[in-house]
Amino acid sequence: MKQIWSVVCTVIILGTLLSACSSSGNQSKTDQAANGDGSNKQKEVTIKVVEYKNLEGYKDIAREFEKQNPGVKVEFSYINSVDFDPTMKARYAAGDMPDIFNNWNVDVWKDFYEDLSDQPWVGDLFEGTKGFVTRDGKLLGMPYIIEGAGLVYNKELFEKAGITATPKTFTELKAIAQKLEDSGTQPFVNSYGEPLFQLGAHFFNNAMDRVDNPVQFIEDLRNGKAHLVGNPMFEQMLDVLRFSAEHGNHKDLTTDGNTQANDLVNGKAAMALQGNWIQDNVNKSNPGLKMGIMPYPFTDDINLNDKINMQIYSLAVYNKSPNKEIAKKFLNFLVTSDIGKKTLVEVFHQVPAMKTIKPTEQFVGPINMDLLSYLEQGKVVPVAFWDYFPIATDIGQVLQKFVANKTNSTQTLKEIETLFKNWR
Amino acid sequence: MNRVWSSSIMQQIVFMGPFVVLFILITAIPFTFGIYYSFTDWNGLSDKLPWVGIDNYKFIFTNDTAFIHSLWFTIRFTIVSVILCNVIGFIIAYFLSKPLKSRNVLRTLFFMPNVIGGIILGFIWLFIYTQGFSTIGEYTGIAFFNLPWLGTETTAFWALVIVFVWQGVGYIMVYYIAGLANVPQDLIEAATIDGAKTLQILRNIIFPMIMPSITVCIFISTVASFKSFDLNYSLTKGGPFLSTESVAMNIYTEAFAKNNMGLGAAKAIVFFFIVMIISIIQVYLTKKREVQV
Repeated sequence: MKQIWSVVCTVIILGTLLSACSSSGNQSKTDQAANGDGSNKQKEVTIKVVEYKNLEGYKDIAREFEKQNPGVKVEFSYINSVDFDPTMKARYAAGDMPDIFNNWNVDVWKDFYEDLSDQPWVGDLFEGTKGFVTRDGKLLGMPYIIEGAGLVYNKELFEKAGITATPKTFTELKAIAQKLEDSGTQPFVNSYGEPLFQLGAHFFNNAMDRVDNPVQFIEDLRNGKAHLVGNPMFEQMLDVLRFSAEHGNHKDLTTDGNTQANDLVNGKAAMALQGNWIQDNVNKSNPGLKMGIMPYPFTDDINLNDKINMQIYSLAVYNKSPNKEIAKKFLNFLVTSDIGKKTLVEVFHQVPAMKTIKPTEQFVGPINMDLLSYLEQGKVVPVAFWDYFPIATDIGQVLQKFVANKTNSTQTLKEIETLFKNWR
Repeated sequence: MNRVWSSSIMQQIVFMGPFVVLFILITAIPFTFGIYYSFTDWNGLSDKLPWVGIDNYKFIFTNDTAFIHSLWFTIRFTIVSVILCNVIGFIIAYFLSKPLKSRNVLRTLFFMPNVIGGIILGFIWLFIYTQGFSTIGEYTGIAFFNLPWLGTETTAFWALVIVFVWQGVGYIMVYYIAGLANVPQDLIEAATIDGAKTLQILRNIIFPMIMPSITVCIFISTVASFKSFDLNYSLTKGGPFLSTESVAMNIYTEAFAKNNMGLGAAKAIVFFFIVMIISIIQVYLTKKREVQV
């Protein structure tokens, strides 16, 4: 009798284990079978959308879309941008890929994106927004929102210090910093405790996206053909970095992005290297505050300075998704339907990448209107940090050492050159 | 025949089988894959796995200063935190095995940090170091609180050690309490009657008797601090300037943020052998000192 029990137990235990391992595989197969024929509308189809921006208001668009397309459910989830890539890889490994997700590290993920060149919204895009998601002539995502990075400043504090025009050169920047300090305002607030986004991506990018051909230049750096030491643009970038640290907050190496944004929005300092996304913080904690954005004036060459670093927030469709036609339909709905257009401007408070959607200051706020005017004048340059994104954190760490006065500018540039050479 | 079947093989399958299956699925197979990946240039996503031979290993030992640096940090961190964890853990356990009124409450309190996960602890202490300490410093002017705790290499190192020891000490304490409870009282009484002082009792009776606990505690704390990842990730993110990047973090960023799965796997294999060798040496050395009554 005892033997029988032990045999039964073993079979049950092993059986449970094996079935647990295979259950997810079966599940996805039946899903595919259900959605494959498309005509079968009784089965519910769920479109999973994963984003790195936490945009409230998607629900309204989704409900409207679900009403017009019975049997379709739209589900949103949000991943913090720093964890976006690792989380997506984990979801890919687990067979849990969403149908719509952000373009992030396009060169790594390019085999996973659906080509969207034939979509109806392509003609509405602003000039220059397609480059970020175009590879081998294919449009691998839908540019959705335009973001601008630069020096975000508090217009009220500028007025108080008697500053009438924004600085266009490094010399002018020094002069206005002096004026701000005379009026009792701290000129900068820096979050140099963030090696990736503050330093490695956005600060270093100021110089990188202004070289003639960033992609080629990075390639040359990796092969040792190009050099940063002796390159005036990169040396000036470090001068500006030092200047901003000297005229900024103490303990900047332990300040994070949230603290920086709060200090800026609450008037503790006049300027910060940030982007138009800070309008959200303004709306939340100090609504109505007059802020603006300008390009970071880090050289004395006006033509070089006077361009906002443009970043594209875009959505891609997973090319192996069984529901990709519905996913494309949803993307189209986002930017062409009335509720989609309205939500983008009035609820998300964003600058759309489509010319057909007109933002107004009442909803998007003054920073975004500044960005829009730069955009309409064509004074924008696409950010280059995606081209060196895997080592951006390391570059940020090297720049932190510079901010802490542990290395001089030649050593810093040399270390960054080594990073490029050792990057594989 | 029937008896042999029921007594040994079947019992082993029933009691060991599930574990062996889990071990093979969760540890052995991924480990074998890891060894294979370490000889390739895989980016973690693509279908292609280009074979590169021992290039990854060559790169680690010749060019990768960041890895060597993180290894050196991990070794320093391990030495300091193992010593502190065990010394403080033993002292707490020693006093909490005395008949104190509040000892159950105190044991619970010391063990509590261990129940909270490392990521959450990291965020709590991030707040304490950046906001809490500086506010206390502003009002009291004590220099200790005005240090830029996570801003310089030395203070960030000690900030991590403090949190790690604070978290780990409760666990170590439990082991030592169990060890101390097993020391025969008659030996201590006999020594006291013979006129031995507390320190003499500690050195000649208690330490030899709790040597098995010491072996286990040092082993646990060594492996835990060698593999430390979540605290570094949430508290310092490896900063400032990569000075507090542990090896586990270095491997994680290499494999997942820089998309070099192959190189990351190679680092993980190297790390595995280092931890294994150090643990074997440590267990061998402390085992030799264990005594039997």
